[in-house]
Amino acid sequence: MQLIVNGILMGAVISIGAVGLTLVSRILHFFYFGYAAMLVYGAYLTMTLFNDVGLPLILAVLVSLPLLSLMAILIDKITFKHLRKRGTGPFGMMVVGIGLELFLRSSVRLLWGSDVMRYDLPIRRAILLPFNVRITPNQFVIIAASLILMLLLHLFLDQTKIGKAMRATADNIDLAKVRGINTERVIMWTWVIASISAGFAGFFLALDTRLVPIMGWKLLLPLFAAVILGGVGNPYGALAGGMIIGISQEVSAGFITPTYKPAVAFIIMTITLLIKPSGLFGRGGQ
Amino acid sequence: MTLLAAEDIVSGYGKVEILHEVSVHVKEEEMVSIIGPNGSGKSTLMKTIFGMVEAWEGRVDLLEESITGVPPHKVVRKGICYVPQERNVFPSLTVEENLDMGAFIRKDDYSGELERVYEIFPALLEKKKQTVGNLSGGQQQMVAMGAAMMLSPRILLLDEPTAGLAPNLAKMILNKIKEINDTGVAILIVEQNAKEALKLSSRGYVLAMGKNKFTGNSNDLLENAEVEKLYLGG
Repeated sequence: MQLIVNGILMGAVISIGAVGLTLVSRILHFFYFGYAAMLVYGAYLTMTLFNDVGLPLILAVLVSLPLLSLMAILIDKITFKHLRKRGTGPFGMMVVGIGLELFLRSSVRLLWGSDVMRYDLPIRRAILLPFNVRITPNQFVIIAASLILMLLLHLFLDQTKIGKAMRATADNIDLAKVRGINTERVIMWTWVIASISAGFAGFFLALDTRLVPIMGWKLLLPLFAAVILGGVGNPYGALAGGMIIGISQEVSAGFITPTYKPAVAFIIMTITLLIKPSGLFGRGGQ
Repeated sequence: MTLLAAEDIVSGYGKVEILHEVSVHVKEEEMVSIIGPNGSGKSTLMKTIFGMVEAWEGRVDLLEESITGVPPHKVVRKGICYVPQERNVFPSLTVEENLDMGAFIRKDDYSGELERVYEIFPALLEKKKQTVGNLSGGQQQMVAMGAAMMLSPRILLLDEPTAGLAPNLAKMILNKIKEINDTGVAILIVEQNAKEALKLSSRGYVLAMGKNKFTGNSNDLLENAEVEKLYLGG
């Protein structure tokens, strides 16, 4: 039972992170490895704003998001935008993305150092729930906040014009242009959503564990697994995929050495690719 | 009055020249067919007119204003809409959302257009909350055309709207197109059912090898022995 709760917690972190990744992957047409760095920057920026600047934690997170968005859009403008104009293929884009990830991760070491860090929060005791389940107040906040975020993301994608345009662009970017949608603007909005998604996932992960520059890279495999399981470009699939990956990873710890947790994500991803490459909720597509 | 004029268009993909000085004219409220064998450049011509493929030479005018080289997301604002041959709907969006996307650039109230689309395609009204990816091919085609009508264009470019449809469905779609045309929207259509399309159109162009081969009134083309033999399947 404790493992399932841990799984839901991990699933919440992965789900929130996977939504941004799935939209970026589909709309930009490649798997962006630099997304890991966005998570890390989200966690570290929040830490600086909270520990050093002294903002309340919630405000620190909310202030970090526009900074993260600005950074993502700026990176897009100086790298991917030019490559898109030149018609660079997904492979070239992916290599640039890996380069960016290495660069950005190193810049985290440069700015904040390689030491393990944490948010300056008082340590609070875990709450004991029925079935002998322990959950810390932080973990409770993470799960509750994830649910609210999921609802907000749903409302954004389902109800707003730009949200619909984003799903349309994810479906078919050429047709989106034919319909008069300024796809460059949609791409900008995609980076904003990706930043919110990555920022919160990074913050949640750091809140539950610690801050290390490598944390984003470690979460990237489960994130990709969730994206692929849910069908690339399907935000609802990514949410469900994230939960499935999170829960299976944690529950597996009851049977195998926890060191092999990432392998579980990898196995699920491989099986999905072999049996249903379009994802659980995919409908074929391109 | 001439609504759309494509003059001496030269274009292609990469270094391959597909169109060698092709010209097409459409008058207001007119329905015009482009026919020709596969690979004759019909789709390329449509894409060039709409700015999806760059015109290397020649010019495209809409109401005597040049739209040469204007990108698709801007050209739609000028009263021209295009329905591509394939992948012409957003499969994960509902019927209603697809139509909303058709009206994306509109800031005003477009419930009138929405009503008109549902009037012409009543089948869509029943399915408006359904995901388009789950609809039949014919219904998807209706969504594609309906979305293109949301901007009340002066002219619709239709690229093989009946591709892959059963004959009775194809006929139904062609009749719907004529119905749209009768409301005053000019139509430029590329069609594999050449005979059927010509019968509904006032004029036609026959393309072959990326050049204008024959041009004329539909009746003349339908009666032309050579056109009949080569392009209308005798």
